[in-house]
Amino acid sequence: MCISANVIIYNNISINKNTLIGDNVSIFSNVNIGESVLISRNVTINSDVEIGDNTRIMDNSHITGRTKIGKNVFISVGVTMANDNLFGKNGYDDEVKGPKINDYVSIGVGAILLPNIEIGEGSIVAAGSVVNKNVPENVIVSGNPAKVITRVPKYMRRK
Amino acid sequence: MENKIKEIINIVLEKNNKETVKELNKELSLRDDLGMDSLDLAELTVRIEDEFGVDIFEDGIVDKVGEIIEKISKR
Repeated sequence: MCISANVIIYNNISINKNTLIGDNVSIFSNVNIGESVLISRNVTINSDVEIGDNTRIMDNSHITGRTKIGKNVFISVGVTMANDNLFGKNGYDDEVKGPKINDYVSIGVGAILLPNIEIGEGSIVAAGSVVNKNVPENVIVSGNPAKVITRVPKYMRRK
Repeated sequence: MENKIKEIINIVLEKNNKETVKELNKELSLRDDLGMDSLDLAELTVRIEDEFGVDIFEDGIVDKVGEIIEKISKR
């Protein structure tokens, strides 16, 4: 495990072996980070987040609270996500949920994931897309709002 | 076969608001001449595989229309 400069880690965090935490990362409470994970520079992770083994989260991305990220997920630079459609009106109640991102999902540069959506295993979210509803397995989605373009061709599959 | 390939290429181009082709030239580059981006190429290969049962990117990404025709001809 390697933790770089200026990293801020709050309470109740687990970080497993071979994981690299880059400069200026901030990790809030109740976060589990698996093995061989890369959290790159300036990533911010809010509370109650799970990140599976071999996942990579690139620079300047924001992981919102109550997000579940599976194994072998790739989150590109500048990806942001939200967990509350009511902008904090009812506080941090049970309705506040971040995305669920399943294994082998790839998320392109600058995509936005809206609250309480699920992205199916092996799917790809194109750069700049806004995902406001669930995405099936092994498809490519693109646009605002994100729509299914095609299934993932073999040459793009990571599994 | 070439007419069907042209039809598929034009479906992908039209769907993504790009100029379609009238004549299919084997030297046409999917990226440089037809303006296809990575999403267009992904959709193209899936549609061609569905139609002809050939994965045109199996051995790496091809760029010329002629390469697509050659791969399908060899099936």
